[in-house]
Amino acid sequence: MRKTNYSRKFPTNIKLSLFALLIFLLGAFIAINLLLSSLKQDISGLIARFIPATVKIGNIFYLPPDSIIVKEVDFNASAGQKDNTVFSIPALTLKFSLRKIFAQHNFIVDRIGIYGFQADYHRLSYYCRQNWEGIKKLISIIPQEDIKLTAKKTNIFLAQNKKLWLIDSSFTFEKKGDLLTCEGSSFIDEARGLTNGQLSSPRTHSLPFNYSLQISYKPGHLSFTNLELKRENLYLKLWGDFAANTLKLNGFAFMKTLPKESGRKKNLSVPLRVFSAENKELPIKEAGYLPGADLYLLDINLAARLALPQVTIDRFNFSLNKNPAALKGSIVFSAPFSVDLEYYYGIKSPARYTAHNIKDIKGHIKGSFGNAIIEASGIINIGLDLKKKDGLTPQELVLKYSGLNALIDRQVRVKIEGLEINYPMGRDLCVIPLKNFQAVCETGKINNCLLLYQAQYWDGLLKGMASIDMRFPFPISAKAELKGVSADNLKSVLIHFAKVHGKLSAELNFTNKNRISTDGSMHIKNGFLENFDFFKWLADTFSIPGLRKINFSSASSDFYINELNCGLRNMDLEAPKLKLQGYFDLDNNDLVHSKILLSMDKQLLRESPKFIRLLNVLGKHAPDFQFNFQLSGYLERMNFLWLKSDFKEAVQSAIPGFVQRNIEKEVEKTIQSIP
Amino acid sequence: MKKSILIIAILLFLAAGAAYADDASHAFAEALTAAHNDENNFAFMQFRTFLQEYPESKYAQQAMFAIGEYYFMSANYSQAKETFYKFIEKYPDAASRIFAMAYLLNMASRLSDNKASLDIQKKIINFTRLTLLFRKSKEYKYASAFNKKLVAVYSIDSIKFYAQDKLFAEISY
Repeated sequence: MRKTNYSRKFPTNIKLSLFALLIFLLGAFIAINLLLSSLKQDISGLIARFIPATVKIGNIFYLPPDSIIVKEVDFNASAGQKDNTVFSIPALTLKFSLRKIFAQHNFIVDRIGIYGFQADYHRLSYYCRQNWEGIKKLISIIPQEDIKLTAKKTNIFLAQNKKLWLIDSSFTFEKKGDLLTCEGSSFIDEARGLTNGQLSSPRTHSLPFNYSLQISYKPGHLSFTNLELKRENLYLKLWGDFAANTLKLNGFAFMKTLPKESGRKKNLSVPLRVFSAENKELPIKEAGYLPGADLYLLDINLAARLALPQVTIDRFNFSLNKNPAALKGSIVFSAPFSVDLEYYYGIKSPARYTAHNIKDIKGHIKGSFGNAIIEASGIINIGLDLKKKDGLTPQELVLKYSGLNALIDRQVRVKIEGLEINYPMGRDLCVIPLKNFQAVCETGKINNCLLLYQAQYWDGLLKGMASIDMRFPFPISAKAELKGVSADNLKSVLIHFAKVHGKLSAELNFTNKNRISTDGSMHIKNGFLENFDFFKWLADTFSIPGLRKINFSSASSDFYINELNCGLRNMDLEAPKLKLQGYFDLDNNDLVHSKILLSMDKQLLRESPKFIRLLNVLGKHAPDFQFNFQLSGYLERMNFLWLKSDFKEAVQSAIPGFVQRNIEKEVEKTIQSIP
Repeated sequence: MKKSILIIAILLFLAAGAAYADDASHAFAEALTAAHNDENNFAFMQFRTFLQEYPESKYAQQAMFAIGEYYFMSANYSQAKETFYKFIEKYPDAASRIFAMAYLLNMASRLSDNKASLDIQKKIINFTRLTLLFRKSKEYKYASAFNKKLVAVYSIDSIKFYAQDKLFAEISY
């Protein structure tokens, strides 16, 4: 009896079956890959139906069991042009669900992996803006299924300020039902560029921006439930919605204005807390989102209409370090980036470095920014909160500028065709007009800008330097030098200068740290005073016509102005027939403190019939006429005391007491009659 | 006939006016005598009655100043302030105005009312425009109805008020 050999027959069948299956799978694998390979042109054609583009795919193949690998994808703006790559992707992975294929006979890609995406920012954004409608249509044909997209080593290059920046991002985007989420991080570093198609190591190593976004999507309505941006020196959280082209956002942000950039390897040491809808409005002291933050943007309330590239801001209110701020206007996000904005910042809680006497800053700016150049014109209105409110102390400072051109590089170079600074002083409007203002701003030190400037001021030249603390509201220490300006032009600052003639030179120091204060000195050579109030009064009272116009070789004085008082010190007027020295202080209550020494030549006095008689009485040996007097009281009604001098003693001894009293009465009557 | 009636009417009017003036002088003199006799309360009532009955009399400003001074002497500062403020408003050219302001300054200082003190100081400083050629100061004097000798000494940088030769208020500037 022949025994059946079961042990041999069964393995043979299995082997055959497995071999057949292998052949089938191999055939299917080859067939699928041949099919995929033939799809290259179709993919390019499909995309080209919506947007002008040529897609070159190096290789596309199926990787069992559920992946398709696409290699060396070049997305070109149009065919036939060199160097028109919008972006390139070295490797792309598409993963699909086998279960859906067998159960639902539906081929659905549910995971996409992108590795090494590279693009030029300007070219990509330009292409997207130009073809936005086509891109939207292309997206609309993609099945609205749940999908997860993971991107690693996404490199976007940005040429800015003669530097090449690399934005290196890795992120995950997921669509699950109506919920869209995105989480990732980006490094922004200065790049060395490409060497043989490979990215050289970047020059700098920054800390990453981490971001997460959660959007609830319904047709015609996007609801941002969470938008977070984190960095060592920044924390931003926003929420809101987007419907009917209107974006509404609320939120808050914390910033450190002294960033400490360090190596990429350093861990992110920001203990960020998890937010819930309930604790969005935690007080600052409890917030702790960014320890050490010195800039708080709270209560962000934005309403903006989007008609890209233009965004019209109907409302953008927020508080900056507890101070109210607002923006309104439009921004165009196309090259050149341009703005037309009104802004307001009120100072209710001055910081330790704040100029305490600034009440608010508001204004308007219209300008553009492109190729590291800012062009703008506008107005800045600085409301001052000075203690004194008597009409003599300016309560606001207005800066009007036109034709501003600023080149932002390692230095900031500013040119302003017309700059006018004005401030109301009593009933008058004081105006400082500057032409062809040019400035160079050195920003070497953190938080400090050293500004060197010069401008044409009337027929003279103003030049100087200013040290500006870049922390809001920009406390300033400045020095200025004025040369060769006709003194009477300064009447637009102080009306008394209308009667002063000659070329004026001055040095001036200014600061608004702690309180506004200005001091300096001025000097006029070979000028004349004409109908200058004090000398006109002397001329009229004592009949000395020569005092109406005084030619002088030199006139100089130091000056100071601050919140509490102002005045002239070391006054010195040298004229052939006259000399004046002294000081004149005016305090916070408008009270005058002054002592002046006036010396007049006898020849000048002889012009006066009154003095001729006096000189005759005093005789030939009369001392020089030295009129040494003190002024006091309120500016509008000053008191007068003739101080002791040799001349006064000579006069007193020459005329009897009752005559002195009569003279005194007459002079007093004359002075009282002066309004 | 009509002419004679008119003349008689005018004479009667003038006679009545003269009688009124006499009455006012008499009433004021009585009040003044009481004040000089140190009958201050009685004098105060007489000055007050006088002011009510003869508000337009030439003595009215002296009477009003006396009433203010009485309130001050009685430490009734709120009434004193009210009276002196009324006084300086109603009699801007009165020689005693500067002393009414001195009383107000003294009270503002007593009541630590800085705002009122600064306001009244400004009025006192601006009261006159000093021109001191040969003198070092200028004096204003006033003898009040209550027989107080008041003196204001204006120097170039200070003003001193004396009552009965005692320093009573001072401003330095």
